[in-house]
Amino acid sequence: MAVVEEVLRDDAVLVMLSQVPPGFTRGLGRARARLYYQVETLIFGLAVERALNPERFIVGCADPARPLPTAYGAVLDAFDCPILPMRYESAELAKISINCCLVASISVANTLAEICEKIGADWSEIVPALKLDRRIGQHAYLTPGLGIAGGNLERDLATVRRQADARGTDAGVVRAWVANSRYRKDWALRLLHETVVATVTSPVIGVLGLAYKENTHSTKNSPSIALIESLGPFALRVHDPVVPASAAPHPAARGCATAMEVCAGADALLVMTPWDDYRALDPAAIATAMRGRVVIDPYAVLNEAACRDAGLAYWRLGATQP
Amino acid sequence: MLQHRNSEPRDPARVVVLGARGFLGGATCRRLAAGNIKTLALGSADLDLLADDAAERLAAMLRPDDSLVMFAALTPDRGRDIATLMKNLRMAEAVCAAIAARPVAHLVYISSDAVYPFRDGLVNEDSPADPSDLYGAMHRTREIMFAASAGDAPLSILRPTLLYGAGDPHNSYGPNRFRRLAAKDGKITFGGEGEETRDHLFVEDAAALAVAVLRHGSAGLLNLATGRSASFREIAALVAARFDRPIALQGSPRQAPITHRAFDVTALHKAFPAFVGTPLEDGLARAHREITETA
Repeated sequence: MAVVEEVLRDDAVLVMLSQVPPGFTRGLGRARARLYYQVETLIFGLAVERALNPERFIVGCADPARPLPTAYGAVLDAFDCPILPMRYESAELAKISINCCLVASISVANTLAEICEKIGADWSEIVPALKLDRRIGQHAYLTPGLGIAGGNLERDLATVRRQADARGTDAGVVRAWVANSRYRKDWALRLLHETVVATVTSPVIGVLGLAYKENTHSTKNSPSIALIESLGPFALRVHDPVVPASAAPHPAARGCATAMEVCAGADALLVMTPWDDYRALDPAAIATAMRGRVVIDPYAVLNEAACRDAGLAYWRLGATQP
Repeated sequence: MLQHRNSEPRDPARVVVLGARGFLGGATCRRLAAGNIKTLALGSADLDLLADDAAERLAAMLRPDDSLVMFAALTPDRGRDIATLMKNLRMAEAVCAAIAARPVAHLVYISSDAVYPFRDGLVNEDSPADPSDLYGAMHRTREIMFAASAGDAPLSILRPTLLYGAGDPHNSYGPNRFRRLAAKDGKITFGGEGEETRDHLFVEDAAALAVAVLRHGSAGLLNLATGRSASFREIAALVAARFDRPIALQGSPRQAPITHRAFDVTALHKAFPAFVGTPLEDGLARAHREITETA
């Protein structure tokens, strides 16, 4: 801040977009009349889209009743979306609140998807019914996943816990979300043990995808990397369209040039990153190439019906294998 | 979560076993012997941990490079009262005093899943240890005593679920008692309709894990379980199926609310990825065979 303020004109408007904890902006003690906190709502992998087409602007102000400075207001008006001025603390908490609502929704999906897996229900059949409930909505985040992905959500949950602990408010539900996320992250590992490790001596494991999500080379918080960390004793083959095999934390991971090479002779195939490349794989060809029959496809990248027709034992989040 | 001091397993210099004549202690000693691992196996007849000089006598036996495994405990069938609790704590006190006088290289305490209350269906190593009875309280207190006394030695606390196998001297509700009832009466009676689910671990698997912990010099907390729970009715049916003659299965009026326990064994998968437990049906068959052959 000191570096920035040194070169600012007195009449300059300073807009902070970096995510900060509640209380930070007011605590700067700067000439607050021209200091604004604007909530950034980018999504990893959709940053440009979100920047060009924002849903709304959330603007933290010293005095929300005062009009925004002309130049600043003009920039925001150009995007033709709602502008929501509010006090600093509300804006600072708004981003966290957005993420908490998303986490709540994800946690509901994960919790109920797991029950679906045990009782013969299919979460994907339930979701449309939920989204048609206006209280839940068409855009509700109800896709089950392997825990809460991304450091930003985890950071915000930690912020809420700290704020609650420091102020004596109840954050039990946040702790439960964190615990559920940690548990859900290992879904694929548990299933691999149940279906393959328990019955196959010296299994060969094939993993498709190393990246944290599709269309990125980042492996930070990658569920695939987390899984591979626990596969040390097993023969492992990996493929990723952009991440090198050397990123796999395994003493002897064999990098394969193609996805089908991963399948060859494998006892289990895990599709751990939903790359589009993998959607085109032919389950019949996979079944022919593999030694075993187990396909663990948390994100339902492959065609489920085709996998079953090919005689594969197919598993995805939110459904039991028939 | 368990952390291994030895990424590759290696035999400890010597393992001192307290409670070597017990169900799990005995199975572990047999496994250590089979692996030619030097062992000093002590039962209550060798060293009475309730004796006034127990700490001094134990300390005199200990060496700095020993791995000490504490199985010794008065189990619930020996008493569930405060007097039994205090005896168990005095036993632990003696061991703690011994290792304070003569530190060891590695300390392993065999606790119990009795430290977990039944209000949470799914249990893992992060679940709060909040025992609701004296036996669970005893183990939790002993865990804390050993943690306070371990010094620089890595401490591993293992919490086994219900164990079963051929040599079980206890008559706890579950496979062991069911087998005895079937053999004696030709029928198995369970509480309610046998709806309650529990995770049962074959004693040989528990022993294998204890030895693995010793060989890895592990520290931390680990639940010993299979991750698969079965109802008591299912277990009774599996036990009954081992007999040549029909065994009747019958329920009884329920005395207490239904409770369930399941284990998330992810930590076990991560600590020992290659470990494969014995399926319940196979373990019960093996136990039945061993009992029948020695009868």
